[in-house]
Amino acid sequence: MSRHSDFTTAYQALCQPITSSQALSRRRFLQAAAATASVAALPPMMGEMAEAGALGANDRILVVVMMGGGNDSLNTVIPTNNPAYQDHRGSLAIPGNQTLPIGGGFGLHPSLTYLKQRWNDGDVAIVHGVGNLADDHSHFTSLAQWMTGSSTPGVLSGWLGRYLDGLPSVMSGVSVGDQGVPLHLIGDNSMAVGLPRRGDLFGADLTNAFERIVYESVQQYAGGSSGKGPLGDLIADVQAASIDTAQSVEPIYTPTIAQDGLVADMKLAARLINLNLGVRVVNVGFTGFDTHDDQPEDHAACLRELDMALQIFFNDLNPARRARTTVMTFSEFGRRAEANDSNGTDHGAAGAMFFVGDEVRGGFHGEHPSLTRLTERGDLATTVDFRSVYATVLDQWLHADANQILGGNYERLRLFRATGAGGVQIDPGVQEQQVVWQNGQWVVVSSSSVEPDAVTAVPVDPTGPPRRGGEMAPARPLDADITVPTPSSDLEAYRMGLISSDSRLRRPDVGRRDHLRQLLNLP
Amino acid sequence: MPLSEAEAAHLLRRVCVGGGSDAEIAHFAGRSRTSAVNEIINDALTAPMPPHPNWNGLGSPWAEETATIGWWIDQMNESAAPLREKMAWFWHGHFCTEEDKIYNMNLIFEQNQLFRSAGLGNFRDLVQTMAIQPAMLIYLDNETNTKGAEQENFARELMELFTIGRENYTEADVIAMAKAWTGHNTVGWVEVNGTWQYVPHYTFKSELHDNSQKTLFGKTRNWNGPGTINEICNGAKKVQCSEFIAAKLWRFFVHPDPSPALVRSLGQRFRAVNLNIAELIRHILLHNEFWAPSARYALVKSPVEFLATVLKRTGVEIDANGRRWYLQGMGQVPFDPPDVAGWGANEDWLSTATAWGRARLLEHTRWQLDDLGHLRNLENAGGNVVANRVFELLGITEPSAQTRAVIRDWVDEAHAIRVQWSITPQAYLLGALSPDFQLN
Repeated sequence: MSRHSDFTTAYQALCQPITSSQALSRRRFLQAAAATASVAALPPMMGEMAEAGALGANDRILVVVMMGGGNDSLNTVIPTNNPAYQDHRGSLAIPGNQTLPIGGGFGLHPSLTYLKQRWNDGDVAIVHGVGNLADDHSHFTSLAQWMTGSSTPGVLSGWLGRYLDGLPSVMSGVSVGDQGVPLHLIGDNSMAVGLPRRGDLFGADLTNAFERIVYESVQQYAGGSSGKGPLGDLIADVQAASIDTAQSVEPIYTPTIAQDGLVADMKLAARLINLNLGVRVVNVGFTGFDTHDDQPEDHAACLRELDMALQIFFNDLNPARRARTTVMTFSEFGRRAEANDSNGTDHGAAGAMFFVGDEVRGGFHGEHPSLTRLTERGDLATTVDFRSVYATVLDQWLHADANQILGGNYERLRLFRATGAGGVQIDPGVQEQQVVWQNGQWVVVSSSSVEPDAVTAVPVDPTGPPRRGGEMAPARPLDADITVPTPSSDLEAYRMGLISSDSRLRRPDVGRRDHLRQLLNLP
Repeated sequence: MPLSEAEAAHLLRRVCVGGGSDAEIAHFAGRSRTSAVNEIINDALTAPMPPHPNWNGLGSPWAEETATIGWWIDQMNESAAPLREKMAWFWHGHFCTEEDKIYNMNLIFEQNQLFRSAGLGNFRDLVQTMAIQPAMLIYLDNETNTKGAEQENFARELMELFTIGRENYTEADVIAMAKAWTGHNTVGWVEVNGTWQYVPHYTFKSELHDNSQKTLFGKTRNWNGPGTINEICNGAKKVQCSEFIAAKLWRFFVHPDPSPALVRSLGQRFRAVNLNIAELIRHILLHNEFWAPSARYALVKSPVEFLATVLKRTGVEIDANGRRWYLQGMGQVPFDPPDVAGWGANEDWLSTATAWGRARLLEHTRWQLDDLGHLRNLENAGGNVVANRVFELLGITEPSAQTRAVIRDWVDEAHAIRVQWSITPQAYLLGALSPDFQLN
């Protein structure tokens, strides 16, 4: 756990362990079934997860690494040529000759050797000056904005959770670690699955009949009303979900992982992606960045852990998945420009984000905040709205409707080499072009000409057209073309094999939202 | 009106971390609410303090922490003053500190004992003492908060988390509060057997205190640390403070959603008894809403409550290392909160990850049941008989129809596939995974 624990009021408050919608579908299913047949006659539940869906041909994977506590961006991506840096930081300043030079007047913190290597390969994007509108230096407020993807009070679901709401597989979103699922992976209708660090999961070992009948009984607690209110129902649903998923994820725990912390979590994340259960978003996190004092040693240790975890993660990743996987880091805020007198730094504002992956368009993005024109409280000013980064990731990497998910249209960055699906490389030089759906395929429209007749059709993979800005993208052909059979009951849906794709039901809105409202001081 | 057995069990689930034993439930059933509550509070105020945990030969803060975790859960279950332990548990989650940062179990245990000795006393006095114990001075860095080099960490959390909540102060108040707490530091380098060791204790370094005029909550004066706590508790912020603490206690003891009107009335009550915590708890436990159906099973057992209840009801043996290990898997280790805000509650404990942690505890301990003499001789019993025995063992006084049906159907299935031998260990596991048992 965090050595510097001032971190996050927020984190735990913003975490909720989850349930999966699979459990809810089971509840509906069992209720329907109970009306027509005896429970004993139900088909076996095990192994459903295997049908949950492997990765589609054009699907991409996003791994989110949360650097909890507020990373000191200024000592991570160091402006070595800027005299104001030395002035602000004094003895905390890292001398230019100790940094790992990356050009443009910047050097990486000496702990980040793997990142430097990937930078040289052109696989690392650094987005300068990313921040939100929180101005109270509260871990909680800032994290809430980062997690919801909104600076507007009142949004109580996570930005990736809303993306995952649209996906059928119960394993689409996963959070690794013994803590709960954080808010950014909780949608309006569904939540991610939480995977612990240790395996030998209850529900995974199907070899003994005396165990199997107990697993089934635990699942049946979710079959109807618990008679104890929504929390009782949720207990049952979560347990059923744990048994649903145990068997399919158990392989990630072998062989035993000797490491601890972020490295262990990232190894599990790599194995999970390699298993190909349809995982689209993985969350991992670690803390220790709230460096109010003893910063040099603590910050170096945290960054070394990050660097090592990234190296091991990419090393362990199946090459077939590697090009489809991007790692994104975020932290609730950067730290104040001026060092404090405890050999540390206090809560600040804007900071840098890293993107790492084979398809990442390496280099600097956005504008570095001025070190001489600071905010009123002496913080680095935000130059890139965090929602621009999210919009870019949703559009260009996950091929989702960013504007709908974020509730607004934010400027896009150019963080990825290929913004099209199916491995179609789009030359950065023509990236400003717009894409429209015409005559049954996507075509690129030159930005200088919007005359349909003048466009040049660019062949794209018909199985998965690119999805860019929300307002210009029509309904996905995928949605339109597939005929969805209409089962007359949940029981029939189950028999038709539809239950897992019909499973994103609205969760019972138990106290959590009220809890968040209280914390966010909302009406 | 005399308490029914179910009502006595409800009361005990809320005032004992591990719920009530059969003997305790029988002791309070048939008594009046007032009589039962008064006895519980009186015990908590008068019982002698527990002996120090045994750290002989351990030699590291981590080992001492583990031993103390095991010791504390015994205290929770065996103390003659269970409400005092419940309050210590509450305050540990409120005025959080972490062994990992302080790295000195003596200091943590000193704070832990404060939560016992003062946890039901006057709230202002509790905050005053908590603020200047080395555990908190170190944890939130006030030990390095000095004039001209202010440290805002403690100042911010004193308001945001400990007394009034986020909406009731400004950034300017944080700056003023940090200045007010300058100079409240630690000292303690001492020579022991020829080597220098840091044995921190509180000191006020007047030369490092900022004596300037500061504007806090709109009042300009030469604020000094303890004076700010008096101002919060009895001055400008007394309404916000009393409501903030009373509401949190209500959510801990009764249900998660007190109405605004109820919070106002609880705050009023708290002020009327001069912030005496025991009197507020008495008011809460005797409140009609505490006894209403809406409060019954309205909370989820936290991992510590789940473990303590399993131990108390069944007597399964788990040593201190094992307790820590299981708690880690369920997501909650005492002295290791996720951060200064403490642990979440209720649905925060409901994830697949923590569900696997709870099941693991039961899987590993189920083989002790037969040796302990529990749930024996059920191989030929019918489903209802097995269910009743499980409910008795686990203290489930009001099982739902569904839970009974699930256990009954499972017994039928066990007979059908001829694994009756597994009924003893598995009935325990299945019963403890029921929503009925996991709710508080």
